Amino acid sequence: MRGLWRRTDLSLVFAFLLLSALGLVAVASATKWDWRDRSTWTTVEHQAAWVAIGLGLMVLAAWVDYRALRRWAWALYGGGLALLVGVLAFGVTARGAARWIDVGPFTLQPAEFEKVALVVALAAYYAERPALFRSWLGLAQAAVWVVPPACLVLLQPDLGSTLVLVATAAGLWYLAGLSGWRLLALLSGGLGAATVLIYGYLHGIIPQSWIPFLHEYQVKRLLVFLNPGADRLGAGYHVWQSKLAIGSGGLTGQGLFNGVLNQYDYLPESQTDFIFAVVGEDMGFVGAALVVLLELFLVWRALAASARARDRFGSLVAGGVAVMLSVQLAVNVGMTVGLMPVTGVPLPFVSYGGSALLAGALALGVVLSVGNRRDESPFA
Amino acid sequence: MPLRTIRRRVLAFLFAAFGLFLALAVRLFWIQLVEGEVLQAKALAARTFSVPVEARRGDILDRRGRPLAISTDLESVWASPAEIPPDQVDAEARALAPILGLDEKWLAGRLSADEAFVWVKHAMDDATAAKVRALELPGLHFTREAGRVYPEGSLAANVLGFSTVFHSFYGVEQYYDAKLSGEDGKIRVQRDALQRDIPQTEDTFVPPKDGLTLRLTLDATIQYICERELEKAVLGAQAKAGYAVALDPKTGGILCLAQRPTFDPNDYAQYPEDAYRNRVISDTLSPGSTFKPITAAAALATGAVTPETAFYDSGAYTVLGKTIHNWNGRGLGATTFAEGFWQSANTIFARTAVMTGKAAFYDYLRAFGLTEPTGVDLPGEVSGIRPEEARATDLDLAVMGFGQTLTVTPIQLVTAIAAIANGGELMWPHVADAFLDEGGRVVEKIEPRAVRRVIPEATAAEIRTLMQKVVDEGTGREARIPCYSIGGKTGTTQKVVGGRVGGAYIASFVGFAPADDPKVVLYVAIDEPKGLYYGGQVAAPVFEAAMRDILRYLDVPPHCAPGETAGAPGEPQLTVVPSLVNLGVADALGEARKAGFTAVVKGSGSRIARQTPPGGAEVPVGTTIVAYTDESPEPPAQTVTVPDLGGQTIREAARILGLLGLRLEVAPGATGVAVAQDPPPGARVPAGASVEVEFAPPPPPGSEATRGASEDGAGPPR
Repeated sequence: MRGLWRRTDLSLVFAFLLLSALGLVAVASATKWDWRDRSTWTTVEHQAAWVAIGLGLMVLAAWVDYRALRRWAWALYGGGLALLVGVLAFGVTARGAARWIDVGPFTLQPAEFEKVALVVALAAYYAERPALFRSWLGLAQAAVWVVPPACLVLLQPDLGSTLVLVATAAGLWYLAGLSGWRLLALLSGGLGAATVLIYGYLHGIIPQSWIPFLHEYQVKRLLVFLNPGADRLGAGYHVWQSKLAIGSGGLTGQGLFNGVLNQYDYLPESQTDFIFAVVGEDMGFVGAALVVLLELFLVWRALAASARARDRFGSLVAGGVAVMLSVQLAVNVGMTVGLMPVTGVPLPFVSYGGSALLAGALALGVVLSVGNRRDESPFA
Repeated sequence: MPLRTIRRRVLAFLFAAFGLFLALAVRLFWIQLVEGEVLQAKALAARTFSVPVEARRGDILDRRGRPLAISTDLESVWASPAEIPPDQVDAEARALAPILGLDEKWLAGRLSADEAFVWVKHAMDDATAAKVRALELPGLHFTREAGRVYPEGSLAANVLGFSTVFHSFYGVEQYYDAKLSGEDGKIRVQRDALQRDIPQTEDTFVPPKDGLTLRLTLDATIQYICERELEKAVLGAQAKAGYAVALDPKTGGILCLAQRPTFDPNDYAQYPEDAYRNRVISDTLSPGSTFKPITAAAALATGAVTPETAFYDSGAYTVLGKTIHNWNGRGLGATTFAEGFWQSANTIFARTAVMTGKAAFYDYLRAFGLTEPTGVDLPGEVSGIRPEEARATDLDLAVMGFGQTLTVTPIQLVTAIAAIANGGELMWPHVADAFLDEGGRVVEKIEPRAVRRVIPEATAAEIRTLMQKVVDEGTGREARIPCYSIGGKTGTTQKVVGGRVGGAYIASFVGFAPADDPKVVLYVAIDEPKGLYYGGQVAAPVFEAAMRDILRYLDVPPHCAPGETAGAPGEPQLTVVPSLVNLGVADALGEARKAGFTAVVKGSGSRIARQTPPGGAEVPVGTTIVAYTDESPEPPAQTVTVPDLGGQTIREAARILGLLGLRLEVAPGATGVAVAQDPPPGARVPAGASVEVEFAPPPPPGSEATRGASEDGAGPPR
């Protein structure tokens, strides 16, 4: 046992804790935490509790041999789907989307867990079928498992999580052996199809009924992304305020709890999807770059674990987590700085939210587990 | 696929992730370090709002500092119709309408409007606001707005004009708007996303520059005297309109400027727009004989005549085939210019004008300021018209000589007469005396300005002597005031309506006192009086009553001849009782207060049904009016004993009856003293009844009443 912990990648744990601490500060700032006013503590307290529980889960997952997961892969896949169906059946609706299941003292966001569950399930499936990616047919066979969870999430609707699921799966295909040109063909094909669909819809060629999953506000957000600066009081409000906040931070920020746009409610969703704007405003370029660096450090450590894994499954699981983390980083931070359209994706370990944090911690735990049982080959 | 391939791909992905980091870092660098300041400035601008801070509008004071217009914070009420349950709209309108004096239907429409915000009533007084508040009706909201209050009601309304929340109209409110309104300040505040002010941010506060206080040359007391006398005359003569304007001849400062009809600037919307304009400066009229002093001035100054110049007056004078007659068709025979003046002989003035010559005559018209607006500091001034000089014939000249065919505004005429009164200098007429700051210190003094010297001192003195004679012995005897020397000139003009001379007249009088060193010039005109219409009968008594009080008020020392007394000092001032019948209770109280009465309302109804003394009666100032509402029990049947009016003048009879609550009925054109009455003395009649009185010239010949009626000629040449 001792040997197991000696091999543990403590730098990853440390990066997780540092990122979570920065997240706690940002959440405190976003919720206008005031130590004198007990009523302002709730959100920060919850998040702190999630971090603590997450750390425990991480340690637990690190201790468990990841190889045991292979046997449970189908159960994870099926359980994830069940939860997603459950959300649609009796989910809690907030702001027009049913994304949560009420489980008494807190609400569960199954999409966040699905991200991890799908990585594990696909990794197990692909690990056993190394030849899958040599043909288009094989690829279709690999991809078909992605469709049910992606569609269920899209129906909530949660375009951001759908995007993360699909992109993470695509990343896994690449790691699992999909050739570069096929990936490229796939990407350009997907983008092309999306462009044709949206262009057709906007010009009335394609009726709304053909794309029932796409909502009006999502199209607007996309248009605003393509034409930044337009509609700053409407669909472009989020991005514009976020850009103003991050820009106002300058090099060292306006100081903790001093970011004006955040403190005076100009920043929407500041403790969740737009937490990065709070970081940028309060802590400036230094803080924002540090957060991005830490996120990428986690990605690097996951990739390192993947590279040293003793088997294909371990390698694909750790790599899948790395892909998932980097996709979320790109989508979330990209959105706050105007490089990506606005979709509701949390910034891992920084945004407020128990499901995302616990799922992320579990994922990191699995990565640790892979690393702990690594193959001491000279490559690493 | 072997594990090695995965590892190679992991490495490739690591590079991709590093690329992602670079992309994000570059983007952050761009936004935060390159565009940072610009974005910060934009964020500041987006949350910064400029809130105007209204400057206080300056007050308007009379020359002794009594307020005529003051700015207040008044409460306004607005409604948010969505908050009013539809089934309560009517009840709410019913409750509000009587308090606010608004139409119930209109109000109901307002309260159910499909809007988020509707004004219900601007600028309520505190009592009204308190009543509305007490109702605690849903959907009503209160806000304070700067309001304008005219504490003296309609007093000097046409000089003041009125100021609304948005604009100022008419009078000095309009003329001096820029100085009165000051400059609004502003506060720059930062607001959060929900438009709440952010405390403790560095606000920039630009304080408002409050408007200056305007002190007028106008005297509230003199204005009151002018209005009181004018009101009486206009009501008494059932005239269409009336003017009274007094100025200090030495400065050109206007002491009073009264007109009927007028309006109450506190309640301007209740009056027709025609009541707003200042007729003294915007109406033109034929001056008639009141113009003769100007003809005299031109003739005397050019040496065309002297007071002693001999004339033979046959009673008619023919120019270019047209014959001019005196008013009674009779001539004065062998006479002098002086006698022609105080007898107001048209023929002599026609000849004098012709003798003066066209060029000189027009020169003096211009010199007296009768050809262009006086430049008085009030908006809307016009100038009179006259035959074009190049085309004027001797006939035009002759007719102009006695004040016909040309028109002037009352302000032009009174300014010209003031030049004669002050020794020959035309002064710029004005109402503004000074602008004061909040501390009452004079910031800007409006200095009296001499426009030009018109005639030499000596000529002015000669004309003053002639005008004194008019009052002492001529047509203006009704204007005599015991113990004061008065100079004046009557005027009666037959109005030309639609190009035809009709039965409508303007009776006017212009004069000054004391005649040797005039302190006040006063012009009075009654437009279309019914019954009596001669200036000496209708306008001169107004002049006399007003001038007497003005002189006393100004402490001008009387110089009594032996056996003469300066009037009974204890004589009560009389005022016409306003009619309160059919007014709402609040309006009735206001109306009574405006007229200088205290009113007591009896009964619980909302409208006044009866009152005592009745409207139109003349009673001493300060008398209490008892008003009965429509739901009050019948007032105790008050009966009054009819007094004996035998030997009383019309004025006296009216006064006595007014005191008793009775009405005087008199045949139009009646003069002299009462000779018969119905009901007879001693009869018991209900209060408010009319007493018909017959007047006749008293037996002793040469008594005032008869002589006063003799008047100068009127109308264009026949």
